[in-house]
Parts: sequence; structure tokens; C-alpha cells
Amino acid sequence: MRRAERWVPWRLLLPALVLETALVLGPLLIGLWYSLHNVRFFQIRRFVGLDNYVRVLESPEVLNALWVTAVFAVFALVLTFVLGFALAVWLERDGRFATVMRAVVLVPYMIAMLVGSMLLKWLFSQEAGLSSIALGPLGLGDVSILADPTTAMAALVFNAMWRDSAFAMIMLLAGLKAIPPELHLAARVDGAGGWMRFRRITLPLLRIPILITLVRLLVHFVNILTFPLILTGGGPGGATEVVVLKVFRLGFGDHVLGQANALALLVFLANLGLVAILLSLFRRAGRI
Amino acid sequence: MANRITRRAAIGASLALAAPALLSAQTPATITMWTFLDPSRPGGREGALKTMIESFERANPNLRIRVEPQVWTTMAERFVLGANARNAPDISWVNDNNLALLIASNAAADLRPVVDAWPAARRADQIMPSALQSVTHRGQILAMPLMATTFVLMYRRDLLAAAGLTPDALKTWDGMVEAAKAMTRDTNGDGQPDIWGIGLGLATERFSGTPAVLATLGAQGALFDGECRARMATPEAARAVQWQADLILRHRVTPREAVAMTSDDAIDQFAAGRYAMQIISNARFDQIQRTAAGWNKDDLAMAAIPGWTADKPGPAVMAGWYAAAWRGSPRVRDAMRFIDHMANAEAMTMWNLPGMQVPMLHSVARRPEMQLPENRHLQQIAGFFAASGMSMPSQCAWGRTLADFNLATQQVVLGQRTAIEAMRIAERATQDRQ
Repeated sequence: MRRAERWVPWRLLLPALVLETALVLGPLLIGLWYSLHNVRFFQIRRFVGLDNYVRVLESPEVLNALWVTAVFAVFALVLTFVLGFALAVWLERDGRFATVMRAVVLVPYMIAMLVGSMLLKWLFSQEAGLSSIALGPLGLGDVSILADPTTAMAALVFNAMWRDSAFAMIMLLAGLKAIPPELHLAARVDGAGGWMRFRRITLPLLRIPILITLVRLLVHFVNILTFPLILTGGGPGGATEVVVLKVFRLGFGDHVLGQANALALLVFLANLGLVAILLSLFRRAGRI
Repeated sequence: MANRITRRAAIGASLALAAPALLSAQTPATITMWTFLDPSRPGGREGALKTMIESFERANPNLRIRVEPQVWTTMAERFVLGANARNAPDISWVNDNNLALLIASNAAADLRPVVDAWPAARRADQIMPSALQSVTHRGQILAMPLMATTFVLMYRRDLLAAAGLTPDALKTWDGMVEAAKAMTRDTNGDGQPDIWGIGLGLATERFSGTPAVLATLGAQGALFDGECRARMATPEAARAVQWQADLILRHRVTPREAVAMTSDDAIDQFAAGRYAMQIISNARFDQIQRTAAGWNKDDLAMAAIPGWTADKPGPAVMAGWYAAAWRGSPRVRDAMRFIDHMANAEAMTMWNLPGMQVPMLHSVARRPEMQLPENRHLQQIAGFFAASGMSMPSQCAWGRTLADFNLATQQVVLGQRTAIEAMRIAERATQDRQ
């Protein structure tokens, strides 16, 4: 290979590397720098080492936020994925009904997250929404979904399912469409039933779309801000205050940017860890 | 041939060299100002600002004011960040919630020379001298109050009258509860009130002042000591939070959903006729009248914040908008002059009418126009300020303290904490921000 040719890949990569450095690595390093300082009201006051990390990890509110995030992420991930998968399998066949239904399922995903959450907030509101109309005949007219910690969390998970199952459906539908129909035909000739074909053909061939969907949804749910910010405001009593909402409040409400960045970096590391665990689980299962 | 500098060439060169200086002497200097108002748009406040700019430019032909309208929610943060980057506007408006940010950032110039030059009559004319004291930090006056608002008790005259009560019943917190009980109604017989006595927005996002904050201020005078140490884990604050939680738990004059409602949600519900009373900023008076649905907008009335005893009204906490000059501005003196221009008697008259702002000067409050029925509510607020006006200490970060009170109330309503335990958490949260 000529010397000039050896540099061609690097030259092609250079714009992406520059952009990545400027837009990802740069802010990450600035965040790291801030996290090691006492930064209040946008003023870097003094170097504090790991003090910000210790403070956020000792804070009961942050520990509560981590727990809330874990509960939300697990329920939202499982339910959204299962619903998305079911929709993908249901609407896989081409036809007028399936086409219309796909469009219907996609509507919440096309709406801006903020608008969708506001709509749901009105829906769940006891005072102004439809929930009292729906729950009234059941003798639950005085139940306020958003005013109870458990039902508020359920509402948050519902918000995630309502919006993001469409994403899961699209990803998995694309995977399903990529499976050659001959495989199913051959299996059917061999006497394989529906469940057998699903387990032995569909699932193994969907492993990459499943992985991408799970990773994307997991990162999305762990870093969710809009749903709790708009739908529940983190309440009641901190029951839905997820960790990124805490970061947002530390940074832009309390103006303690050192602690906000420390927590944000811990969340970033947690994200990396979770994705690594997911990848290794798939590897161990021989799925990638 | 030897090169010679001719007289003509020398004059030409001199003119060429002097041209930029001559041109700059002719071109007016521009003062940039960030505000949420756009003087090119219609509106009372916008028109008032436009008139002020024109009069200032007429009096100072070498100065031009350029307004760069901003989104108000992030204006203070952007001003401070701009000052850090040495690229801020000459003037920025700052709301009361962000005064601590302004003061801590060291971005604002000292306006004391301007204020010290005021004649004695102008000083005596101030309805709320404490407004200036609250923005004084280490002897420096770091912002100029331009527009004042405060929390008031808004109520429905028709519902109060139907309950056989007069506004005198609303002078104390306990009287307010009794009135709320009388006004809470189930109009369709489904067992659920359709009109609640008191509306509250107790969410920790998009929050505002609630009775508990004002009752605490009324009882103990302040939420901070002189060193900005939070004083909220007190029997007075715990009593106020318990009182607020009891509106939901014991008296059932406020819906439980209040713990999930933002201040805006609650105001929408009030305008929709679901509440008989609510503590709201007086700045929302016109909006509520405009959006009143199912009831006569003229039945909307305001009362002073209740007190724990009838002889002492609750605090009229001053909020609103201030103007600050950027310390690093090359035109800082001119910027300070324009700020002074926006706060003089003539400007205050314009902010009042057509700007529809609360009079901040006694002379403005006494204008004949203030006696007109449509303007009387503005004069009423000026009266609240004169009677029991107070300002929060601007050097202390108290903006989210209102949310801390809301969280404490939520915890008590949900049975997670006692009032004093919840206020200990609230105090720590507020203290951590100082």
C-alpha cells in the first residue's frame, strides 16, 4: 500500500473525529473539570477534588433518585419492549389494517415528548382530565392518579410505554421483515408449529434488532427527563424524581454545577456499565 | 526626482487618519439592553418602554438604546454567563428569583452613585424603600427595582357573599379556613366537591408562593438570618406546613391532587371556577379575569395576605423585575443613566399607566387615574406594600425554597414525614444552595 493511501481512512474519519471531540469529548472533559470544583452560580470557586462525588452519593435525595430511576427503567424497559414486540409481530403482515394500525401506533412517537406528556397529564388529572370520568363509575372518582406515589410511577411508566413502544415496534418490525419467508415455509413443511418457529427462527434472527432496541431503550429510560419533568414534576414526595431530573435541578435550579456535573458523570458511567452488561449478556448467550 | 511631502498630501493624510475618529464622534454609542419586553410590539408595558427610550435618546443624542428581547426564564443565567465570557449586554433585566445569582456572580455594576444623587424628595416618594435595601450587598446597590408584584389572596366575591361572609373573614389564616369550609360545594351531588375552598399548586416544578411560606414569614419575619443561614426547621414553619397540609387532610377544602399540581395548573383551575380562593401573584389578576369561565370576571377580588392574628396582616413580599448594568461594559456609566431614567418619576408613571404596573411611588399611587374602578386593584396593591411590604434577602438563594416548602407539604400529606421532620429536610436543601 502506498504511503498516501495509508492515510485515506484517517482523512475520511477526520471530520467525524473532530465533531465528536468538539461536541462529546470536549463537554465531557469540561464536565469532569467542573465536577472537581465548587461551581456555584456559574462561578468556579475552588478545587474540591472528589468532594462533589462524595456529597451526591451521600445525599438521601440522590439515593432515592437512583432507586426511582432503577424502578422506572426496569418496568418501562420490560413493558415497552414486550408491547413493541407484540405490536411488531401483530402488524408484521402487510395489509390495509396493519398499515393503518402501524400509523396509529406511531402517532405518540411522532408527537414531541413534551406535548405528549402534557396531554397525558391532562388525561390523568382528577380535576380536569378524563381519568375521573373513566374511574367514576368504578367508585374511584376521588382517586387522583398523579397524587399517589405508586400510581404516579405507574403513570410515568405508561407514558414511556405509550410513546416508545412505537420505536420498539419499528426496530423489531424491520428485523422481522428481513427474515426470509422461505425459512418459515421450510419449517412449516417440516412440521414446526408457530411457537417452535418463533423460538427457533424468529428470535435467533432478531438478535441484533433486539439488542439495538434494548440498548437504545435502556439508555433512553435511564436518562429520561421530559416525562417526569412534565407529567409528575418528580412528585409526589419525590416518588418520581429520577436521577437526570435531579441533575437538572442541581444544575439549573440550585445552581450547584459542580455537584450536578459529578452526578451527571456518574450517570454517564452507569450508562456505559449497563450497556456493557447488556452486551456481555448477549455474548454469553451466543446471540452476537 | 526627490520625493517631497506636499502640503496637500499632508492635509489629505491627516484627514484620512482622523476620519475614523471624526466618524465615531458623529455616530451615537449604542447601549444594548436585554429584557422580556419588545418595544416594537403592542402592549402597555412595551409602549411605556418605547416612550422611555425615545425620551432618553432625545435628551442624549449621542446615545442609542438597542433592545434585544429575550426569553425571560433564562435571561439572568445568560447575562451572568455573558459577563463571565466578557460579552454581556450593557443592561439586563433580572427577576427577583435570580437576584442571588446576579449578586453572587459579581456581574452587576454598583448603582449607588446614581441613587446617591437622588434628591431627598425622590427618596421619600418610594413606597418600598426596602426594595433597594434588598439589592444592596456590601454597600453596593446592584439592581434597580422597576416593576413590583406581590402575592395576594384572590377570592370570588360571589362565593364569599353566598356563604354569608365579608372580606373581613379573610384576615387570618384560621378565618380563611372557616371561609373555605363555607365555600366548598358539591353542586352536582356526586359526593365530590365541584368548588373547593382553597386552590393550591404544591408541585416542586413550576411552583410559586403558597400559604405555608407566607404564614412562616408572617410568624417569624424571615427565612434566613443575616448570614443567609436558612431558618426553616422552626416550630413556626412546621405549624405553617401542617396548617397547609390540613387543608387537604383535615378540613378537605383543597383537593388532594394539589400535591401534583403546578402553580399554573392551579391558576387555570381557579379561572375555570373550581376554587373559591387562592394565593396568587397580583400580576395574574388580568389573566384570570380574561380566562374566567363559568363565573363573572368582575367577581374576582383581592385581599391582603392573612396573618395569624387579625391585627397584623401577612407579608406583602415584593417580587418583580429589576434592571442591572454590566460591570464590564465599556459604557457602564451611560447604562446606569438609562437605568435611572427607567426608574424616575416620569417612567414610574408610565409603568403604572399604560403599563398597568403597581405604583412604586406615593406620587404615582395618588394619581387621579388610580381612583378609576379598572385601576383600583393596582392602588390596592400599593396599599398592601405600604402596610406590610417586605423583600426577600436578595443575596440569599431562596428561589427554590418555595419548592422546598411544597415538598415538605407533600411529605406531610402523604404521611411520609411529620411537619418538623419535613422542614428539617427543607432547611437543609435551602442551606445547601447558599
